[in-house]
Amino acid sequence: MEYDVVIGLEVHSELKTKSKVFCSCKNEFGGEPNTHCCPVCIGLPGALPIPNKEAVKMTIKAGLAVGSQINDIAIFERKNYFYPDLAKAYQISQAVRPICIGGGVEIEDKNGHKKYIRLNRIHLEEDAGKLIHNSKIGGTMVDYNRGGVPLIEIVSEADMSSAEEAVAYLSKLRNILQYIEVSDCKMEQGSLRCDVNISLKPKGSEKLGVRAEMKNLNSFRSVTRAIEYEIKRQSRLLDEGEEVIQETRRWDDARNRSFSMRRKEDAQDYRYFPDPDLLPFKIERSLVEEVKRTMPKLREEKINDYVNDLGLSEYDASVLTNDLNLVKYFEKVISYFNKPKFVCNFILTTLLKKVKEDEENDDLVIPIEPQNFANLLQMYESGQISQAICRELFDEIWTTNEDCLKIVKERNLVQNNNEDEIKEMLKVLIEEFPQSVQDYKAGNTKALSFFIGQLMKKTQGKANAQIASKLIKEMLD
Amino acid sequence: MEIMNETLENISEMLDTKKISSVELVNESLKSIEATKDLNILHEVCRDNALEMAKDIDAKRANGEKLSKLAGIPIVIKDNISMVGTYTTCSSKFLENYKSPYNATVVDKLLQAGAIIVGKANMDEFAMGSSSENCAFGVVHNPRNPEYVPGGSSGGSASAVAANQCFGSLGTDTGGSIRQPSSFCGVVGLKPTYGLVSRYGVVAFASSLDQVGPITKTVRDNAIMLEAIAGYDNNEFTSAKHDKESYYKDSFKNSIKGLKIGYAKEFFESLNNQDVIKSMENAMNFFKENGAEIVDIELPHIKDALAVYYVLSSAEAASNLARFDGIKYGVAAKEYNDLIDFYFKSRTQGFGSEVKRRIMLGNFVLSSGYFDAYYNKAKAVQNLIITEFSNAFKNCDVILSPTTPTSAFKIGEKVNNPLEMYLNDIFTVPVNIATLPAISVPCGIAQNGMPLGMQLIGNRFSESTLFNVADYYERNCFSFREVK
Amino acid sequence: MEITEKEIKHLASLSRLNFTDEELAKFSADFKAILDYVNELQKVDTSNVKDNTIIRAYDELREDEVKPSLSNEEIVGNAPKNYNGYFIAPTVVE
Repeated sequence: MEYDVVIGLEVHSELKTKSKVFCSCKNEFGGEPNTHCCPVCIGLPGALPIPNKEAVKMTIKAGLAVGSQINDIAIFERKNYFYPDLAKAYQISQAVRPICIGGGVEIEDKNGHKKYIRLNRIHLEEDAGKLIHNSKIGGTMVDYNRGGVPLIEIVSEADMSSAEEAVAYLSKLRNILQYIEVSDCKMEQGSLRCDVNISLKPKGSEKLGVRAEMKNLNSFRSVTRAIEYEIKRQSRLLDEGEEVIQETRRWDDARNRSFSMRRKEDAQDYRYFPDPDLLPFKIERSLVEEVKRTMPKLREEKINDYVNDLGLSEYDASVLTNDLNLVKYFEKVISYFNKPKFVCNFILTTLLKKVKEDEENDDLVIPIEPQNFANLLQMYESGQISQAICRELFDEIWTTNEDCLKIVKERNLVQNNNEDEIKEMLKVLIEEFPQSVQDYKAGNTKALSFFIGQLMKKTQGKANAQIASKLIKEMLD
Repeated sequence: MEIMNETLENISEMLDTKKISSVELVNESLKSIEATKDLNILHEVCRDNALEMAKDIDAKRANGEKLSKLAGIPIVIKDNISMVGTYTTCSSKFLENYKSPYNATVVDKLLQAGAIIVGKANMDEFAMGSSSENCAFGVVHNPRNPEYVPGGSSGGSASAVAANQCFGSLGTDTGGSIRQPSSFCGVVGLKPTYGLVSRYGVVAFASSLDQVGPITKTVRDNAIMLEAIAGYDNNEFTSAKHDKESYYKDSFKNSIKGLKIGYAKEFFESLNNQDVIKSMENAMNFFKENGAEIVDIELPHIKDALAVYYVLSSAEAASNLARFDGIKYGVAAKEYNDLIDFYFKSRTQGFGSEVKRRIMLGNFVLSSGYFDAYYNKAKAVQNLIITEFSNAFKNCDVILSPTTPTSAFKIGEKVNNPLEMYLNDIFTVPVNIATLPAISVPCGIAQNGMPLGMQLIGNRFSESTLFNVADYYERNCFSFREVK
Repeated sequence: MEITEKEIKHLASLSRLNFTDEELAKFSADFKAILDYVNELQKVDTSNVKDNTIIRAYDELREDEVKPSLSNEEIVGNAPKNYNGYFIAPTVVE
């Protein structure tokens, strides 16, 4: 049977405030275990939460960026369940009155078809601590450094119908959150996480099917794979006349399949109620206006700037701005070496290819320092090093990030642009390979590249290839 | 130990004029604590630390430093108030070994004022109870007669003052837990306006109702203590932004002429204890004779306050007490099958039966299917009660009621009937529900020889009015000195 | 109002509390009495209640400033089990 696929996403994104959401501990990834902690975020008896202004502001900013309505009064509620990563045995979250309501984002598929994905809400809550299993000590180690880090949950309507759309939606959201600088959106560090709700219904049917919730999706690839796996799993069940159970499933990327999770609480009764420690608070219109005024440029505006001010092509600008990390990297590099088109070309061809060799590198981590990269491009552009050396060096410093100026000097990799010297070397080669000379004379132009290749071999790539090909032609003609 | 009979106000004067040193005073207090230790009032005595601090205060005084009225005076705090270097057990087995790494704001304020904290008082476990019998470390006895309960949950704090172990104490009051034991022990107890005194570092029972307040021998002593602990705290979101008041200097007018005292029949129609009825009549006559006017007011829904209280306080408690899971502090089960079993066993071992009962009730009213009928309904009735009080205060300055329906009962008399025990709080609970201040002052002796208390309820932030009326009554009608 | 034994057991499970059969019987009786009392609330007419909850302004929230945390010793100092600065919980099976 054929089915319609119905997908909704719950995206969690950590806000990059200085301090945590309900206490003044540092909001920073990692750190020695339980060192960014205080009575509030480890839930000591008597400790009380105070909401962080900036976290509220960032939530409003996210809402405005996706066209949400901002509620005038917001309420924090307690979501009660026992789990070792939850210090108070309740998570402070929002249910009946979140900060943002509604909104949506537009996605585009490969063929340029546009689709609007509606949002249900964006609310502010606290992150949980981290659990690390340790079989040696026969228990689970608990670190609350992440506990109390501000988190926004962006809940979409079930408007997506394929893995491709889900990924397009997720990357669009990530792009927006990065641009408005509320989150680093690093999937690898967990600052962007995603749960997927998915259900199937017979094609054309109005009635929604039973949905499963998939958790632990921490890369674009796992989102795609998990959705594809789940579609197969559910359609097989339905084909065989079996029931889909409403449940939470955990995606196991290594095994490429999902597993039914043990339920956190019997019958999932979270017993939400307004947190008596946190009175409802009022969000004045003036504050919303203020946030609006400080909204940074979104991608569309960046593209315009790049085309008009830097002379990039529309296509190049659009690829470059797809990810804010790349934008920031590009802008840093051109601050050291102001040839935007040249830099952009190298990034879009060589650098992006390198990034994509690592399928898991969703966060576009670029290990080369921008200044080092700028130096490399400058040497290449000015003819100090050959293209071959440039490529080699690029590969090398990608893994080592060593200073390319130093390497060029130490290994004496400076390009040889001396016509007389190159001519001497070519003369020797012509004598060495008479057969190739004859080939050329017989009309085989490939023989020219052969001589250049031999020259490069001899000089370890340091000869100026342009000069050499001009000379060899002159010499043989 | 004669000196321990004095009031805080007089002792402060004696320290100031160097008639006695703080070290001497602390030694007297420690002696008194030792002499009355069979009453099981304190869980912990901070002997060394107290003497150290007393020495420090004496040195400062010798240097001519200007010190606060509380400087050098022995004080006791309830054992649900966090203080570095002491255990904070809430009289629960669960927290028997728990030492807080941080101070409650009220502790910081007391220390800043130079008060000497000499001990931490036993209580009903997690402040749940009205008799101090729900204490994991033994029942507290009433200093007026050890066969009787001291009331609860701040039974230890009230007893510490009544037994002359100290000159004042801090209790906490969620539904009457300061006023009811103060009444049973014949001392003065104030439950301040919600938000006036910081809750930071005070182990929560029901966050929206809990309030810290002073227990003292006299009303003036109480004003001195409130002044030291009141004030906005930016560690608490529910803290009130109320301007600082000089309660001791500004409250006492020595007159109640023209004062309007509200009389709500709802507080009196259910009374059947002759001692209480008589004491109320006496008080009313006294007020009339001294120029106050008695006005009739209506509070038709205060009869529902206790039900509201049990729904809201239990709901909040169930959630507040969920953090006691055996991982970060407290009791951890030694043998268990898995994580869930560990939670069950640790909590079952650590909590007493009254605490378990409230957690169960709280989870019942919060659970899906019942939330609207109980929690939301209780919130709505709370709103009715708040509105009724605020209308009543348009026509009167204070409202009079008994603190409790009877005087203290005997230990063991009500342990097997939780509902009857709960009914003890019927007059005190509406005050918490309406977030108002109220003071309990001694107002007579019952047939069983135990003290009686009268409750004066004020509008929000009208503590100084309450102090004035209570002080006038105390100085001209009845005081703690008449309680034996 | 009657509350079934099954419901009581469910509440005990939500509360993470064990009760012996004897305790459960006593408890059910107490619970019934308390609920009967609390159920009086259902008779109160609250149709005219307008929400008058205390509401804070955004301005009263906390500034985003980092203040010193407690030391790791203070944080894990009360833990029944700790190891290398971590709290130790029973093994979590996902």
